[in-house]
Formats: sequence, structure tokens, C-alpha cells
Amino acid sequence: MLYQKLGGAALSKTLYIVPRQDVAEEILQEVFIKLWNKKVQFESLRQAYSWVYRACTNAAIDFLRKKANQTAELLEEVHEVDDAGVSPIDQASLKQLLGGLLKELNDDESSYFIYHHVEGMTQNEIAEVLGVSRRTVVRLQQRVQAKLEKFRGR
Amino acid sequence: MDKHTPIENSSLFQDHLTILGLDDQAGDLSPRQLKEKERMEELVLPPLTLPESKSVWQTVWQWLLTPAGGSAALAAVAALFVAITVPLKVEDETGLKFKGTYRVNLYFERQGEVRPLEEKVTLSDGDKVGATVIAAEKSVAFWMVTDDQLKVLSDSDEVVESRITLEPGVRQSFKSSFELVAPNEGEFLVVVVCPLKVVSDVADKVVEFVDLDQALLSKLSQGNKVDQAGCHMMGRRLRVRGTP
Repeated sequence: MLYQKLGGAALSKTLYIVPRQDVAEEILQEVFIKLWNKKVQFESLRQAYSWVYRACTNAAIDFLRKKANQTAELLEEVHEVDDAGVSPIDQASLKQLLGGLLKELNDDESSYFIYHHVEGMTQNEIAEVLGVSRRTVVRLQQRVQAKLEKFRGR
Repeated sequence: MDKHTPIENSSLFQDHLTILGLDDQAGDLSPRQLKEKERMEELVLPPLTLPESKSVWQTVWQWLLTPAGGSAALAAVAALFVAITVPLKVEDETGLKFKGTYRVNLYFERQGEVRPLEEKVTLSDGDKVGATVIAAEKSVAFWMVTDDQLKVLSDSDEVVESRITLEPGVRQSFKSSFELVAPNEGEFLVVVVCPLKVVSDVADKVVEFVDLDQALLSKLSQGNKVDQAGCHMMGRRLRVRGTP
């Protein structure tokens, strides 16, 4: 039931980051099977979606890391903003991540970069999805910002 | 590059919550949200193939048939034999004897003075909390802090960096202490000790190996020590939100 309700949104979100249908579908399977195996209990559907959203992001980052050496191929596959210009994610930031920034950031930092810079989430939203306090998100932001400045300074 | 400014000031996450009807926002979807909703509806969800459920006994039996499972079962029987025939006592380097698998002692530092963290102590901003751990067998230990809603306050780097390796019977302190700062978030400390034989394959990633989900944290916050996946966990409320 959760799969039917949340699967479409989760697949859409994953496809923005991992521009390959087969990989995104595999990630979706992996996430919902993990959910099934862990028998996670949620207080609300919103909480369930936060969990799924985070799990999809983490799996997408894992895939991108494994493909880090095939950056050129990935960059070509990233969907271009359509003519109407209503992509909900920042393509340029995603390309920056794929263009080498991913190597500089650890898993938490990569997640933060995707949530804030690519998907435009606020600190409160990031805290909700990560299940941490806003203070932790602020510290994560500071670390990412420092690494971003160093990366851009090259 | 300029800071990303989301179109219409909403994130993809927020858009999804609105489309799925999971937020408090009422009203029509924005043009971008409508487009995203169309995209979601056009995507074909592949069928979900769930693993077959096994009974607990099937799972245990299959585990026992593996080399690791069989060895662990034999080790458990041997340990039980030893425990019955020989009292389990370990001396640490200060000559204090303790029984049992592990012990965690908490202390706090205030204005340069270090004292045991007894139940009656009220902690406040600026106090630093530390812990020592002693275990009967070679183990790894780490710690983290949550707020009173059991949301983790420590970031993952801090938790990984806290990790220490314990030699049998040798008391050791965590390298860093946790300083309490404003605001008072009802901080709750969790210490995890894993025998190295349990986590030897994943010792480098022991923090990820131990699954501290909300249910487990909730049990710990009720004052229970918990054993899970061969690791031992204890929790301690450091302060109560709303108190000075």
C-alpha cells in the first residue's frame, strides 16, 4: 500500500538525481524491500515519506559514487531543463556535484548538498528528512559551505 | 555560482508533500506542482518483489547451518559452560574488580573540576559530560547524543570519531566530551559497546552496523539497557527540557 501511495513520488525524485530509469527503479525496489525487511513503524504517512525520501537519496548518492569515474557520461545523461524552465531541481548544482564535488563531500554532506543546493530544501525540511535537530543541519551546512568554497576556488 | 533559489520558493520535498496531500497547505497546486504531479502519474511503477517471509525458526535454522552461525552457537554453549563453572571476574588496571560484560561510568566537568555524574546532579550550559568504559572482552565503543524527541544531535562524523577500542579489563575514556549548550534540548546520551568478535567484519563501520532506530532509542530513554545484534547499549538523560 505504501508502495502504491509513495512509489511514484519516490521514483520521480530519484530520477532527477540518477538519470537512468533502470537504476532508479532498482533503487526504488531496494528502498521498499528494506522498509519491508526492517518492519519500520511510522506515526504518519508524512514520516514514512521522509524515510523513503532519505533512503532514495542515500542510494542515489551511492550509485553516483560508484560511477564517479564516468562523470562525462553522467553529465550528458542529466536531463536538461525543459523549454518551460520548470525543473524543480537546480541542474547546475547537480552538474557541479557530478563534476567532482562528490569526491570532496562525505555521505552526510553529499545528502545535504542534494537536499539544499539541488532540491532547494530549507533547513527545517532537511532536519525533518534526516531525523536530526536543526542545529545539526546548521553545522552540516557550515562544513559543506567550507568545502564548496574550497572546491570553487580551484 | 549563485545560491540556488528554488522556483516559487518551494522544494521538491515540499512539492511532493503537497501533491501527496501530506502537508497542511490547502489550495490549488502551482503550475510546477501540477507538472510534477503529471510526471509522477506518468511514471510506470515496476512491480515490487518482496522477499518470502520466513518463520523465526527457519531463519535461525538457516543461520546455524552457515559456518559463522554454527561457530557462534558452539561458542555460546562453551561460554555458558564456563559461566556456570567459573565465576566471571575481570580485574582492570586499577585493581577494581567488576562482574558482567561491560560497565560505563559517566562524569562531568564544571569549572575545571571533574566529578561523577550521579543521578542527583543537575547539569547546565557549559558542563562537559564524559564517559569511561570497561569491558570483559575486546570491544569497540562509541556514543552519541539525542534530544528529548530522540532526534540525533551528534552528526555522523562526531559519532564515528568517538569510537574507541577496548582491551579486556582495561578502562578507557572516550577522547572527547559532550558540552551542554543553549538551548536546553533535553539531551539524552547513548553509549554502545560491541564485542569485537561480533563486529570484526564491520569494525570500521560499526556505527552503521548498529541500527539505532526510534524504537530502540525509545526503549533506552525509558531507562532500559538494551542488547541488540550482540551489542550492548545504555542511555542516560542528561537534562530535562524546560529546566534551567
